[in-house]
Amino acid sequence: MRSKAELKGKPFPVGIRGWVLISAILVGLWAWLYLGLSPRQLLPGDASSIGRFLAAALSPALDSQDPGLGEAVRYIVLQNALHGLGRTVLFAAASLLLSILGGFVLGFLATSTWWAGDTITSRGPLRRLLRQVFGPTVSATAKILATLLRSVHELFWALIFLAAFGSGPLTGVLALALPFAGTLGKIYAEMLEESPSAPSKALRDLGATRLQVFFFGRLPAAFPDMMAYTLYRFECALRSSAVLGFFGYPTIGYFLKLSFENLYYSEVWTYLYGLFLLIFLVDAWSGTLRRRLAT
Amino acid sequence: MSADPKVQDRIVYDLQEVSQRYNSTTALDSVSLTITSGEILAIVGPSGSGKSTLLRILAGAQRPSTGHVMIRGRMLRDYSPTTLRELRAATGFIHQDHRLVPGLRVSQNVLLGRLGQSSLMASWRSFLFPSRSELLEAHEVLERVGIEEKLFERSDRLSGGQQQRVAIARALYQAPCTLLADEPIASLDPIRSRDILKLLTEVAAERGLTLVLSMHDLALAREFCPRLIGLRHGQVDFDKSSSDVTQTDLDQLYRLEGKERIEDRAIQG
Repeated sequence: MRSKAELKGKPFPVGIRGWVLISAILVGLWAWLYLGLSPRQLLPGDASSIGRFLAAALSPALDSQDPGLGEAVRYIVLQNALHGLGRTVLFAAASLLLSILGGFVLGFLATSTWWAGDTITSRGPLRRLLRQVFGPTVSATAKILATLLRSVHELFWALIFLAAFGSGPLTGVLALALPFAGTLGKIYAEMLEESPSAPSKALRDLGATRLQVFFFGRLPAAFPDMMAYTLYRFECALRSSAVLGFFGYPTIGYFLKLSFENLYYSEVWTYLYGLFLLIFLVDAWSGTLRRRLAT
Repeated sequence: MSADPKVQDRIVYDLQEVSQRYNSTTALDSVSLTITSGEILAIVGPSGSGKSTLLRILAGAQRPSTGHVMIRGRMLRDYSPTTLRELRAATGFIHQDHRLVPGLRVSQNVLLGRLGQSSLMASWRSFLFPSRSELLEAHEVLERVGIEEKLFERSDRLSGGQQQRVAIARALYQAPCTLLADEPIASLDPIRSRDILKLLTEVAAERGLTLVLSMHDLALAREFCPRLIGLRHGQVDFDKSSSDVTQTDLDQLYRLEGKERIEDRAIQG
């Protein structure tokens, strides 16, 4: 027991969590000062433009606000919205399929636990080389590749692909699929490595090969988590797919950007409401599905 | 006795002065024993006496540090990866924690029992599209362990005792020559323990399997197994038929000594 006198002089111990919190706040404050941020910057130069934009929220347009087009093509904005949202979903689905394949291959190669095998069958020099050198090398390479793919944001990938191949739909799908494959590969590998190893050992004991142990022991144990995470990534893919429209791909972002540039704010709101609705519905659907997968 | 050629032929496991050391600790210390085909025996002893290590060596899952291990007439060190796989495929191993693959149906877990006997393609086929005859066979072994109605149930939704039964069914589907069970009843209540032991010993007798159990409960071991091997500090304390095991043997086996005893006194005091 410490005496009261002894405690008096001592400062309260802050601990690692306390220091992280304090330094995070300090860094953030310093960044605000350095950038010279001030709430005054939110005051609009042209207050009427903001007012018109906000007012348009109450009157979303179904027909074009373009006086030239006017009522000539009925419900053109509604049609564009449906078309754009449909394309948003299609781009997301096509990319995700590709990134699931890529992510699975990366995750499979990166999962180091199954390369290890067991010592009793890996006694020859060739097998030892496989276990101690080749396996870890492949696993590390796959992990680095996954990190490289996802460290570049999908919008940068889109810029690169646009410059290299033009704006065909495949380039848009690839721009989304590459970073998503990196993320999925990393997470799949973690889930596979952390899945319970006892069932796999039991399969090993009844004579299963390394690959059989991976496919029938590790994979099924990690599968529900992998599925739930992939569903979550579908939500992310939808948001990214919408933004991809800013680069000219025919997703909802494309129409959003055009109407914005033309200052047709009522059209902008139609597209925004459509996007909100889509994201809301998909979130609700995948949330329910993920909860069911968890049990 | 061992000079009799017929007995020689029937020897499944022959261990001579087998020791297993992990860094500074000794799990098995010069263990010698033979087990003949169709024998039903229990390895008893306190925690940390080396029961699990011994079973892992019998299963071909581990090589001892020193000593000779002969399994089915072949030295363990002479097993190639291929023959070792065959050995494992012919050895059913039941663990304390059933170790079923979570998320799979009972039928799938049972069918995994033959992984050691099938190619990767064949095992994918039976995993995704089990044939009618495979399902019938799975149903049959589940019937033997008394839970055939759970065939298509998710394994992780069963109770602990039911999951242990599925693990036994998987081992039966494997159609092994030997059944090893490492503390199969350690996490079950007394009534279920008795059921599982009864099931294991009956099945082994029916199918002429060699059955090696490891367990704590001496009364149950004596009741179900004709032969008991007492293991203490990695050494064979006694190896007798159950009827010859005396109370003194058992007291000796579980007595506390040295540091253990001091701790024991501290608790009592």
